[in-house]
Amino acid sequence: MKFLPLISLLGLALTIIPPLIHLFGDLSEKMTFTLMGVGMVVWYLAATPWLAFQKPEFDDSTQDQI
Amino acid sequence: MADTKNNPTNEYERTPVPPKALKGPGKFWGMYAGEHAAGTEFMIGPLFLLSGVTLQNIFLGLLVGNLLAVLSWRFVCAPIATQARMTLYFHLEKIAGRKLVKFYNLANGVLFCFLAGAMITVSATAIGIPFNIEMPEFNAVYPNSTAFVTIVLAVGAVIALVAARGYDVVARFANVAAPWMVLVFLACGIVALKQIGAANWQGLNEIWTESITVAQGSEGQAKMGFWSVALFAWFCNSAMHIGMADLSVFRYAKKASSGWAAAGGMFVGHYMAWIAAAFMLAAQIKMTGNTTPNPGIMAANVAGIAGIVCVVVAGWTTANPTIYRAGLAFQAMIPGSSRTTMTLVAGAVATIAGVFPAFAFKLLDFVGFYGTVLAPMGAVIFADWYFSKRAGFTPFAAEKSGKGVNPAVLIAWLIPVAIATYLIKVEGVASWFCILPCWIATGVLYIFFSKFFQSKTAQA
Repeated sequence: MKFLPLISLLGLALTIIPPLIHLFGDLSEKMTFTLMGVGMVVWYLAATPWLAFQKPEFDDSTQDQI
Repeated sequence: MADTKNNPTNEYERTPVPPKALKGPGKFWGMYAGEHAAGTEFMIGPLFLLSGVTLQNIFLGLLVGNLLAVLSWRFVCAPIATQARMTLYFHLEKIAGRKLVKFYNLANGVLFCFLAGAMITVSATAIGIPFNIEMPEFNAVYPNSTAFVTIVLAVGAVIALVAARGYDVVARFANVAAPWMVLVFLACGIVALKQIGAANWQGLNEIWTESITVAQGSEGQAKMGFWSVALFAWFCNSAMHIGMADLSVFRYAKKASSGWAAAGGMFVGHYMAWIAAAFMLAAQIKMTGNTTPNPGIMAANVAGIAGIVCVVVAGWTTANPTIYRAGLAFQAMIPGSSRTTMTLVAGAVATIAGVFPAFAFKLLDFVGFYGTVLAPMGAVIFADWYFSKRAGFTPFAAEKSGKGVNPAVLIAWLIPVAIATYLIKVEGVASWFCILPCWIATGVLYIFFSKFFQSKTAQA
């Protein structure tokens, strides 16, 4: 469980670093999309166990979601 | 007004927040950054491009507008919140009366339903991709196919059923999704920039202008200028800052300086995400000539499966709590009704609204109208707090008189809103130009009518 936040960070890294390499380097668009997809799976699997059980800090029942 | 059983954060609803429950500024930065990276951002950015906003105006207009929004949170909402430490509803109830607050909450609920409808449409655009369903074209008012209607009804039904089960699950899932969604927005903008293929600012500007020409035709149809962009950015959350809905949030802040945390939401969700989403449409126009701002297809083009999932999740995590909140508003109006039933009613209204793509395609106008109706109530709170002593009328009048409706509030609210509604709906004035005049007029009228009614009562 202690390593889950670190693994979820890896998921976030896979979400943002490939597009940057695609923009400034020579990573193909297809590979960029694949790595982002992997990042998404890693993030949700690793982040859900620790982030989903944090108690919300505020009453945000008036937020309008715009 | 909230459901304590399903929302564990709903403490101190009818008492000021005690010192032991106060929180530092860090908590607020995270909350705002997460709350304002929502499904609506996928629509609002592209709508700027389609409205003919120049590249310079989108960068500068949003910068100025979002800065003004942050200043409104910091200097209008947060100071009152950290002194009174009450929710919007409890604070307003003391001034306007219990029945009038219910009416205000109903207006809030109805508008929430249509906002949720736009979110359901956004989610449906992504769900429809695997089924190869043709989506409505830009400016379409009515659905274009039975398949589209079926997808919207299915998405709406799932969202309404989950919302009816309670707030907790949705809030927890949104908590998990928020950091990832923010990065996907950024990633979408980066890949779109690559697809646009501009080498420098000048090149980007040329492609952007060309995209507007393609979208609007060579004659051009509409032009949103600098002030339209700035005022929209300032007031799209006006119900929250100058409308004082975020009294409920900042009542937990140790200091009013926590109001700066709104910058986390504005410059992530309403600056970066809007510009990224606008780039997505510019890239789509350059590559395919398709000018329809279909969030699902645009996101798939720049982020693949992650983009599609992001659109679904963004639409779901925003429509869901919105329907839940609308359900609570309806429940408050009908004594004895169940929250589940009222949430399902709200979900049904939102789903029917979602069938009509006009609510999503006219989101800029709708959001402006939403602010025009709700934000002026914040002026009542502002005037009551700062001017009651100086102007010589009793603050928190409804609490002291025990009346269900404070006529001074009702009249001060309805007159400017009615005039603004006429100007927007009949004369075609852009809604974001009406919000500030409405707010100021409501504040001034509230002071005048409070003095008038209270002096009449004293004479009697």
